[in-house]
This record gives sequence, structure tokens and C-alpha cells, in this order.
Amino acid sequence: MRARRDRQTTGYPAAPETSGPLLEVADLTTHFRTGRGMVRAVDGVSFSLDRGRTLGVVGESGSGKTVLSRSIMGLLPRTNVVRSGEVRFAGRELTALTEAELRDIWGVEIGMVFQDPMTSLNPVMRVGRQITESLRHHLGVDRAEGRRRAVALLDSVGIPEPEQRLGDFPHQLSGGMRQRVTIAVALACGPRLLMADEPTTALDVTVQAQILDLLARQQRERYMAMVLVTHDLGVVAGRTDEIAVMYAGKIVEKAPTRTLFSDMKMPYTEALLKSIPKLADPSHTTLSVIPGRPPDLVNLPTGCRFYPRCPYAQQRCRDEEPPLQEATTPGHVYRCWFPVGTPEGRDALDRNRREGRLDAGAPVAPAGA
Amino acid sequence: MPEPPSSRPPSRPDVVPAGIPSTSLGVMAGAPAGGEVLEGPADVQLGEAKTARAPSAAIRRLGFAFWISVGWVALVILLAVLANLLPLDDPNGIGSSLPKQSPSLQHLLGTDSLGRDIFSRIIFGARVSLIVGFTSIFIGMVVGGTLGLIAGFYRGPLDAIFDGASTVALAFPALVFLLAIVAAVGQSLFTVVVSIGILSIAPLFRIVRANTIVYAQREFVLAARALGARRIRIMAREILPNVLPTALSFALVAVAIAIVAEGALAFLGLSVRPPTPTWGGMISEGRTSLEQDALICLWPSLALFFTVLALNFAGDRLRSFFEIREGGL
Amino acid sequence: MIPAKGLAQCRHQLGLDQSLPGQYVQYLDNSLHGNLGTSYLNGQTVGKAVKQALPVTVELLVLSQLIALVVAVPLGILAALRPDGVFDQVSTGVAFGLLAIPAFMLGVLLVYLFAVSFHVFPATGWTPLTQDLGDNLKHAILPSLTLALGSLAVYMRVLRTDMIATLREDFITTARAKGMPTSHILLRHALRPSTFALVTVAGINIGTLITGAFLVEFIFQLPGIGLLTLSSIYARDYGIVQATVLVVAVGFVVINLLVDLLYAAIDPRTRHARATV
Repeated sequence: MRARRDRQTTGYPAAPETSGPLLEVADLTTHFRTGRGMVRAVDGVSFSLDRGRTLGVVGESGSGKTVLSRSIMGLLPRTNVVRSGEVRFAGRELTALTEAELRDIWGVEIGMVFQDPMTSLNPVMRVGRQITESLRHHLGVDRAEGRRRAVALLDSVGIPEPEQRLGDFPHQLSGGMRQRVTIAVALACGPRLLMADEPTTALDVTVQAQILDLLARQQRERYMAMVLVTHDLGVVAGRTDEIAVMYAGKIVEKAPTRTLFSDMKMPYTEALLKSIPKLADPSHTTLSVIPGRPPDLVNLPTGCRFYPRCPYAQQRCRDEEPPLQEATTPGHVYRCWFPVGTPEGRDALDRNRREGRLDAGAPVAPAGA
Repeated sequence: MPEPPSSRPPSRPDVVPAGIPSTSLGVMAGAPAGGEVLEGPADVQLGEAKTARAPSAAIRRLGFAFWISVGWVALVILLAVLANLLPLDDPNGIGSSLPKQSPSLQHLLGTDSLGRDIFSRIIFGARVSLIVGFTSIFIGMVVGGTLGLIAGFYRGPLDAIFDGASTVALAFPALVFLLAIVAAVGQSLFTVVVSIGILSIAPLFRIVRANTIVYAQREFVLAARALGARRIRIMAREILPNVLPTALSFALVAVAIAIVAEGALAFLGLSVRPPTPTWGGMISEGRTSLEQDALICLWPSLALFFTVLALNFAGDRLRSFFEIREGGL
Repeated sequence: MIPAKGLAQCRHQLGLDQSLPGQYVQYLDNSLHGNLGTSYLNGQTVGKAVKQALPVTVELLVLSQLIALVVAVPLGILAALRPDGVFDQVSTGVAFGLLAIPAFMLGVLLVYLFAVSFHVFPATGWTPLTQDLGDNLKHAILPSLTLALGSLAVYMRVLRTDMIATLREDFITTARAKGMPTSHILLRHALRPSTFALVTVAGINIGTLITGAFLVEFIFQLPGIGLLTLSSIYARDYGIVQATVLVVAVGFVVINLLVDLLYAAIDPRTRHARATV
């Protein structure tokens, strides 16, 4: 109750201005206990994100990127989850907070946009209420003010006739419009961090660009930080400051966006990049050219987790897990023994080609398989 | 499908399927119709492999309570069948002993307000309950099951008509139907068995039909069809054996419902004519002397309660057991 | 012995001298005009008897459903909150037990507990609602409770199952991510979309409920449709039996119609689907 009164007096919550990054994730690990064993969805992820900056998190489905975003927020199932590591947000350690304390951060300081606007809006609640309820709960605004702000929000996310739309149910809107609504919902209380979890995957290609541009504009105008999770390198290419590539629960390469595209070190990143669809391709063809499938998160391979599918793979990749090492550009890190574009990498690739272990991009068969 | 390496016993939660059996007459309806919407284990564990087990494991997996239930029903059946051979008092011997005696060695459960031995009356009363329960559901199973198999296999307009009719029949107040029949034809064991049997056709039809529809689209049935097997043969050899376990486990629950229905009729004095003992009738008679001796009413109530509970539980347990096995296919 | 002339006259009065189809057409015609015939025994019009009995049964049904819902909804939500938790397992067990107690046994049990042992409520009898509200409720409480307990167990389980499914939906995660409190999420977000099956089952349950009402009226001697039917059966007063079965059938159809309308109220999607088609 007390917290609520505070919010009422200040309007938007003013967190202490700390120096340093807005979000700092250190060695975050999230495992799920299941009947088959421990699913290691996120396995020691670290990064930091400054105010007003955008981080793209890229990986195939099953790479743990969605779990990462939920784990950062603390939005995980109550049971059978093992989480460790640190998540420092605006100077507060989120992992140490109870769910009740987190609820004062969720929606207010961190907003979230989900993958599928068809399912992420309540089908039996009017759009207006879904926007205003967090305003009214967190900021204590009255009905009229809530309505006014909701109209302004819908207007700013590019929904025509916002006042009429307030009374609509989600099923009366198109997919793109719904995603605009979920963005308005996430932005309602003016969060300082926006987590966007595959915000365009479920949408038509034509709408995707619009939504991404909308997110970018909102992020700039509001000086928010944003974590944009996606499986599509093309999506994050022009819209992020930094990109982290995830594979099997780990960050395998992280670099400023420009550097990542011009000077990638990790063969997986290279493979992802090669698989960016041409403009005309439908989005679903994206990753079809990377041979094999991501590893089972219960039975992870020893060594480098990508070696079974890697055209550069050598014996060492099977035996030893490569550590995260720094490249020449500041802020560029990667995990690889035989990095792309280096003499070692070229040698490894050539050797594999010579020995016929590579056939038109087919994987190096893991021993014993 | 890989067997999970751990030897840990599968921690399957006691799922009560949504179409919970209900004892009141009408909700023979509840189970199948509600079930269609809600079926499915409430707790789905992430990627848990479910595999068929060896029979001995199956016995254990059904659980202790299941075997207690089966044991109870078996005991009741055994006593009812052997009633004439057992050293029991005459269930209709009015005045053969003092009325309203407390339980004693001579009268295990005491005597009722007319001095009849309650234990003996409960065992003879079980005969009516069991005959009505099993015979009527047998009728329902044969008629409803056959229709369900045919309708589910051939589909088409006939199926639509049957389906619609069964929906209406399911929801209509069963007791009102029973009362109407008894009022028109008069009360007798035969009337009761046949009318409850008729009532059970619709729910059993739906269960069998729904399962048939599922199996009729399975690969092995399609394969048999493609190989040119005759339809009768496919129904008898491919579909029936698969539909039967679910249908029989539901039939157990249906028997419980039929027993309650007979109990209700007997309670209203409209089942088998007195003095033939019935559980419902005994409860009704005991009701008049609740103030002096509540035990007279309690014993037949307990007999009815535990029998119904046991049948419900066993049927329900079997049903989820077969569903699990199904999941392992 | 009845004289032959009197018998013929009586048969004529009752219309029994007409052919069977003729009698049926006559009956339909009369029924549609609100004339349900007269009692064979006392000459009272059937319509009047039914009119007196109907409010009792309706009150009983409404009250029992209110009790059942008021108890079942919070319990179902609680059970769904932690599936297979302690509360869930206990409530499952209790529900299973309740469902194994036939309505007539439950009635007798409640009479024994509250009327015979503790004299809290009267065991039998009825005071009309219009006469004395307090007295009416006193007489109505045990019968309604008897009816309610069976429905309650079913409703609770059904709501629980649906609620568990709803709580796994994406929009619940959205609501959590908005920082809404748990109670708000449960009541404002999850409850309504979890009630579709409840409404369906409530519709299916009507048959059971009417059956239960007949038994309860018999046990508690409430002058409703059920007791009217039963006493008419005992007295072989077929005119009344016919009429009450008709009333029950019509009532049954009407309630089912109401349930269908309720869907539209709960789920805006069906409402708009109908509007656009």
C-alpha cells in the first residue's frame, strides 16, 4: 500500500540514478527440472546494457533466448526451476526480490512484449482495460486519466481511431494491430527497459518491419533500453547497438552490431548470417541451411556445444569447451578455438574439406553417431 | 521412444478427469459430454516419456486403493451370490427377533424396526443392486456400444442423427423418465432393469463413438482399409479391442450410477416391491426411525456409499491407466 | 360397482371415448392453450396444482445453484493455484467422496445432523416465500444444501481443470509481466475464460439437478413439482403426472436456452461471430 502511495505522488517512479549500466546480468543460469532430467536452458550468461541502448539476442529456437528474457525478469514458473547468478537492474538485485517486490518493477520499470499477439492479449477483456489496468494499479491514475493516457498510447503506436479501439476485444483487431496494442500495454507505465521476445515472429513479413520501426522509434523517443530477442539476424541488423548470439544456453559471440556483421569470429554466427533470407523469402525459410538441430539441453555435448554441426570442428572442439575470449575490437567476445577469418579457422575448414568430412555443408559426424 | 534411465517410480499425479463420475441419475450425462471438452491429464510434465510397462508393474501402478476398491466389489458380489448358502437369518422374517436391537454376535448389525436382521437384508439387498447395476449396463453397453461403433466408423447423416438424439437424451432428467415408465408400466425388477438400461444407452453410445472416431483414423486402421479388409472385420478386429478398455472402465462408473438410480427408485418405494430388501428401500425405512436408532439407516447407507465409491474409483483409475498407456503408443 | 351409464359418462368427460390419436391431438391443443386438464381424483385443475408447486421447485433450484457456485468458485481457483498441492489433493478427495453420496442419502444425513441431532433446521415442511422470508429460508436451507453439494463437487473440479489450463495461457504471463497482483490475475483475467466448461457442465447438470430436486422434495416433503409428481404416481393420478412431466421438459428446454445465451455473455468472440455471420 505504501509503495502505491509513493507512486501516486511522483507519477512516474523515480529510481535512484546510479552510474553504470541500467541492466547487468552476471553468470545467469536457469535450469528446469523435468522428468527427463535437468534442462539447462540458460547456462552462465553475462552482459550489460546501458540506458537508451538496444541489445539484440539472436539464436535458433531452443537456444534459451526466450528463457533468458523471462529469467532476467524473474517471470518463471514457481516450481522446478533452478536459477543462479545476478541480475542487477538500476542498482537493484532482482534475483533477491520476492515476487511481490518484483511486481512493483514488472510493468512499471520493465515492460515486456511477447511473441504472439494472438495469445498474449486476454481474449475476453476489452483492449482499453488491458492498457489502463496497469496504469491504474501502478500509478494510481483515475478512470478518466487512464482512458486519456490509453488513447495517447494507442495513438503513439500508430493505431487509427484510438478512442473507438478502446472498446474493442482483441479478436476484432488484425495481428499487426494487436501487436501494436501489446506494445502500448508494455509502454503504458513508461518503463526504462523493454524486453521484446520475438515481437515479429508471428506476424506477416510486411507488418514485421513496421513493428520493428515502431519499437525502435519508441525506444529512441523514450530513451528506453531494449532487449530484442529474435531468431532472425536480419531483424536485429539495423536496429540494435549490440548483438549477442546464443547457442544452447550460452552466449557464443557478442559484439557491436557493425563489428559482428563485418568481423564475426564464431562459425555459428557465420552460419546464421548465411541463412538470412533474401527480402522476398518468407521468414520461415530462415535457418534451414544450418545442418542438424540444436543439441538436447538435457544431454549437452562435451566441449563446444556447436561442434556437431560446425564445418570448422576439430578434435579439440570435442574435448575442450572454448572460453569466452576477447577479439581485437573492444566489446567483441566469442567462444571458438578456430575462429572465422583467422589462419587457424581457415586451416581447420580446409582440413575438414580435404578429408571429406564436409560435404556441401553437411555436418561433421560426431564420433560414435 | 527412449526409456528414461532413472528407476524412479513415475510420479503420476492422481488425475481426476474432468468428467468426474457423479452419482445422481442424470449425470451419466456428465462424464462423456463434459469429458469431450476437458479430457486430458491436468498436469503435463515437460517431455516426460510415458511407456507401456510390464503387467506386474501395471498392477502396482494402478495403486493400492484401486485393489481395495476391486476387493470390496468382489466381496459384495461374492456375498450376494452365496447369500442362500450362508448362515443368515431370513431377511424377511418379520418379528423373528426383537426390533431395533444393537449390533451383537447374533445380529452383526442389529435388527430393524420390524425385527429383521440388517446384515442379512443388506446382503440380500445387494442382489437387487448388483442385478440392476450390471444387467442394465450390459444392455446399454450392447445396444449403445454397437450403435457407437457403427456411427463412429461410418459417420455421415445417421451418425449426426444419433449424436443429436443422444445429446438430448443425456441431459433429460433421468428420474423423471424412470418415474414416467414406472407410472405407466408398474413396478418390477424387469421394468427397472430395462428402463435404466435404456437410459444408459446414450452415454455409452457417446463414449464408444468418440473413441471409435479416434481409432478409425489411426494408421493401422487406415492400413487395414487400404489392404482391402472388410469393414465388419476392421471394426471387430482393429477398433473394438482398442475401444473396449476405455468403454469397460467407463461402464464400471455407469454401473455405480445405475445402482444409485435403483437406490433412488427404491427409496421412493418404486423399485422392486417390498418386502424384497433393497438398499434404497432400507434407507427409506430407516429414515422414519432416525431419532430412535440412526444405525438402522446408517448400515445400508454405508453399503451403498462404499460400493458406489469403489466402482467410481476403480473405473476412473482404469480409465486414466488406459489413457496413459495410450500416450505411450 | 360403478353403473355402466356413469362409466360411459365419465369416459366421455375424460375424453377416453375418442381414438388414441384423437386424444393426443386434443391433449396437445388443450396444453397449448394453457389447459393441462383436471386431476382425476379431486377435480382440481392441473394447471392450478402446477402453478402452486412450481415456485417451490424453482426456489430450491436457484438457491442450490447459488450455494454451489459461491462455494465452488473460490475452492476451484484455490485448487488450481497449486495443482497437486495439499489443498488440491484434499479437495479432490472430498469431491470424490461427495460424488459417491447419492442425493437421497445426503438428504437423510443432513436431516439427521441438523434436524434430529441439533434441531437447527426443520426436517420437513415449507413456508411460502411470500408469507415469511425468514421461515421460508429456514425450511429451504437443508434441501438446497442437499442439492448443492453434488453440483458443488462437479463445478469445483471442472473449474479447477479449466483454470489450470487458463493459467498456462500467454495472456496470463502478459498480465504477470504487467505487475498485476495475483488476486487480480485470478479474478479479472483467468476466471472468465475458465468458465466456459463450467457453463457447459451446469447445462448438462440440469437433468441431474431436477432428478435431485424430486428426491429432495420427497425427503423434506416440500410441495414442489417433484412431490406433486410422486404423490400423483402413488395415487395413479395420471393427468397430473402427464402435466408435470411436460412442465419439467419445457423447463429443461428453457434453462438450456438460457445457458446458451450465457455463453455469449461470457465470451465476446461468440457474440461477434454471431453478429458478423
